[in-house]
Amino acid sequence: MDNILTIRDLKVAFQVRGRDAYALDGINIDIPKGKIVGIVGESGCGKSMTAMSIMGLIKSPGRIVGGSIDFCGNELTKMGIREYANIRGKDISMIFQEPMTSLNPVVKVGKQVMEAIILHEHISKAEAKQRVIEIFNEVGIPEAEKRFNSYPHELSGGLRQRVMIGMAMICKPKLLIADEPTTALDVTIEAQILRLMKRLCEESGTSIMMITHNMGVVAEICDYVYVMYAGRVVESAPTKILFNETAHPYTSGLLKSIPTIGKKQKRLYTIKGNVPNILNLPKGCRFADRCDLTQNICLSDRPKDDYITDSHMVSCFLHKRIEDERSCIKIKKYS
Amino acid sequence: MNKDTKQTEQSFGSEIGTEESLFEKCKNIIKHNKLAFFSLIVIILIILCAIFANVVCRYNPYTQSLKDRLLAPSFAHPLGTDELGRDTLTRVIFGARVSLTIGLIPTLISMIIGTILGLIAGYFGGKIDFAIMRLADIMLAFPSLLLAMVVMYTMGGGLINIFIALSLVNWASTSRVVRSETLSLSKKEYVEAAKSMGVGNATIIFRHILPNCIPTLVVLFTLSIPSAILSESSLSFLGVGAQPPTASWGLMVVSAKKYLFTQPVLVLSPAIAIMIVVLAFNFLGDGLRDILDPYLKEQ
Amino acid sequence: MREVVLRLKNIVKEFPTSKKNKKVHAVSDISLDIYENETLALVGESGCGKSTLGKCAIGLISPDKGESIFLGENIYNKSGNELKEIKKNLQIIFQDPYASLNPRMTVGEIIAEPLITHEKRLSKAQVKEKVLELMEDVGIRKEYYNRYPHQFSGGQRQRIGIARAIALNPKLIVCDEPVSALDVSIQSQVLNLLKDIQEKKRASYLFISHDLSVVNFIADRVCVMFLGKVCEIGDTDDIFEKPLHPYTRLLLDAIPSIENAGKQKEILKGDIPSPIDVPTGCRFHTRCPYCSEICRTKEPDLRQANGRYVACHIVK
Repeated sequence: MDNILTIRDLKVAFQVRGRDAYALDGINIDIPKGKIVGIVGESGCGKSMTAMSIMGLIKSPGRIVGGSIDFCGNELTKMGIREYANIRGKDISMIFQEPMTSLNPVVKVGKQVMEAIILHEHISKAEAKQRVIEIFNEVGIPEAEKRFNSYPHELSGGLRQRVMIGMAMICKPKLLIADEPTTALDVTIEAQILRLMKRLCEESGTSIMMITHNMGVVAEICDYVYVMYAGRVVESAPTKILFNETAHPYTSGLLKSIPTIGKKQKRLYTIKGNVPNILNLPKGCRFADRCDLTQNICLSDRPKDDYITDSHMVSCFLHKRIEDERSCIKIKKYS
Repeated sequence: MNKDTKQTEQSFGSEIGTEESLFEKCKNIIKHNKLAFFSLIVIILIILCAIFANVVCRYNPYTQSLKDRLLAPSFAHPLGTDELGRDTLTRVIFGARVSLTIGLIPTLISMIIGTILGLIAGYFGGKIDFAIMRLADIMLAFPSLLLAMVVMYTMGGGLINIFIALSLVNWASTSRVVRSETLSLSKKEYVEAAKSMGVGNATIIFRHILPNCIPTLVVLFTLSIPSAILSESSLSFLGVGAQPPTASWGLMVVSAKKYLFTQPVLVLSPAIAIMIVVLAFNFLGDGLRDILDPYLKEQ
Repeated sequence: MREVVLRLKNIVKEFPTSKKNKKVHAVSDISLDIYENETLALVGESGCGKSTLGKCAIGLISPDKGESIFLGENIYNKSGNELKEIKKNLQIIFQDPYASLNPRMTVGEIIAEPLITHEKRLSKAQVKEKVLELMEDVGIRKEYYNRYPHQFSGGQRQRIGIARAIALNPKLIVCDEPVSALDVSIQSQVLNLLKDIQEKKRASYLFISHDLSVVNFIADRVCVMFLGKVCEIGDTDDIFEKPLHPYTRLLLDAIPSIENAGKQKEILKGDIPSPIDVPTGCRFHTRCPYCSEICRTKEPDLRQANGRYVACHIVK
């Protein structure tokens, strides 16, 4: 398969009180060309940190201490600032949760998008403006020419996010990183934006890395999902498989703890306890103290990334692939 | 980036460690704020020197000895003598009494007035706010030194009157800062929660708003002290502040400026004394803000 | 018939804007009843006035018109001790667990505040005992009595906020998006806690949320709002099974969910109209796929249909 981005054993550490705290501890992620890959997890699990590593935006006291990020044959972790600047915004672009904070409030939105294109392509202003209006039409901004001269505060949240998407897509990037792009939006607007992203992905062949905490969003548009917990990828699989054959207790816990419409529940399932502090991680499996199925080995050893099928990775002692029998045995003690 | 570092900070913050003993806490605070701690020691030393000036000094600050005038620094007179033959070191130490009281007391008074008015204006808003703020604007628009001089001329010289003059001049800026702080704090949800509980206005102001203004106030306080010391010297220079032969740093700088090139140590000694005190208070202010701040880090 | 705890009558609240003759129509003539020991959810998109209505209900905001009647008495006419006595019974839990606790007070002081304010006869020791009891009720360990809010995670802070709200055994608690700032796994803990507490303390909740799946779990009745108006009020099960108002239906459809993933669905077009320039007629008509002539000109009244109330010309 054609992977546009390959992350191998990436480690990001923060120096806190003289010790290294690993915000990312050996994660592997593949993003195939033209697909939408979801990264799900709770706050502090390292999903935004992953995005920042790819963008080369990890700031001190954090730093990449190991592993590789391969983007179309370029090793990003060893890239200089200048080379990075050529890639950022052109081949990889990013959109954020709150479009208001990532747009300059005193510059017209059209101009801001124009700047993005002029920076990377040597074209005239008139051409650039034409391109901006085209992209505004493409991302569904009504009256694009009028909107070109609007200031960010004159637009609604949904329109601002469309502007951001337009700005990110204008150089036809190979990879679009979307960090919680719909979290600040209302559901009806969220649905519009998700549909737009899916369409853009299909039409332009851009891969999208979708960072979200919302399993519904993942189910809606993602092709593959990586579930992260405390700086590790605990499970990854194609979306359908992840939801239908959930293997990791954390994933299934998350899925069960979401209230579902159309189902009368007396109580919700809860994952006990809190997300562990990355300064104070358990010795064995990081989920061990919150897991319902903890065994002795979970407390003492770190589980390895096991592929229980070719596309389904789980990092848990409950699952093992036995190669001899050419089949996988999944221990399912829970449902 | 911001979001994630904030999250990591939160997860660091939520680490519920073991209770520290008071001693441990102090040790930690000192370890992380060495400069502030050092400044505190310097300030305490200067204050002690000022209080026990009679004991510390060998000479009388007022006894003139014209045969010893304008001596260079020597063992007998470490900072030399002034144009009237008085020991400079002694006068610097005695000058600390006037300058520090003038630095501390009017600042404290104006802070208290300014804080109370600022809290009232910010919390209640409306007409009271308008009245207080326009009064403050008038105060700020008026050249402060001129205002102080007017007060001093009508009431006469003397330390107490300097206190009153400087307090009257300085409350306005404090009240503006406190008001804006109060405005933002009173929109906080915990203030709304208190209101919904039926907690009285006075209690809300003193329990929820004032404590959260403290870091700002501490910094403002330490930053106002230097300007008060400097205003005292200006007033003295204009002849309405402390009067000769009283030893005050401002006066000393003024009277020594004639000898700036022939006897620079005479100007430098009080000037450096002012600088040390000003810097020490500034460092202390910064340190105090950091020490008081961890509670606010998440915001 | 169950007793009505709080009756909101024709509440109108408009906020001034910087332009003289324009106003934000936050809440336009809404009447609601909240019954004893029930959870009534207010749902809607941002700017629909649900938070404003919630705050009007307990008197945190005074509306321009209307009454909020708590056990037969209009709270807006009361003042002094009478009002204090009423406020004891009306509490609120906020959305942001970071902004809703005073960073300079310990957990003990925060939870004790309502007790000290209202139960003046309690001794210090009694207050502390009560606070520890409350901490246990909401699942905060007693050892944390002297801790400051910044030492807790979001979920734990929200528990502290809940403890503070239930300290006086209020009859009604307004929950203003209490779980929307929390992680999924923590959200379910807090939702369960809210349910347990309701069972134990027999309080009513006015539960404000934009998350329909949360509402489906916790609410007995749902009130769907759009631009300061009620679209539909009815039992949760009825509304989620068979929404009558087109807005309710499209709102339900829009939720991204695992069950409905990949299904072709109708997506609401356009943006939410501004609450400053509200559309004439039915406020939803600019986005409504079933809009007809009457919708553009005449504002629909809230009327009974199929055992619930709906404000739509089209629903029969």
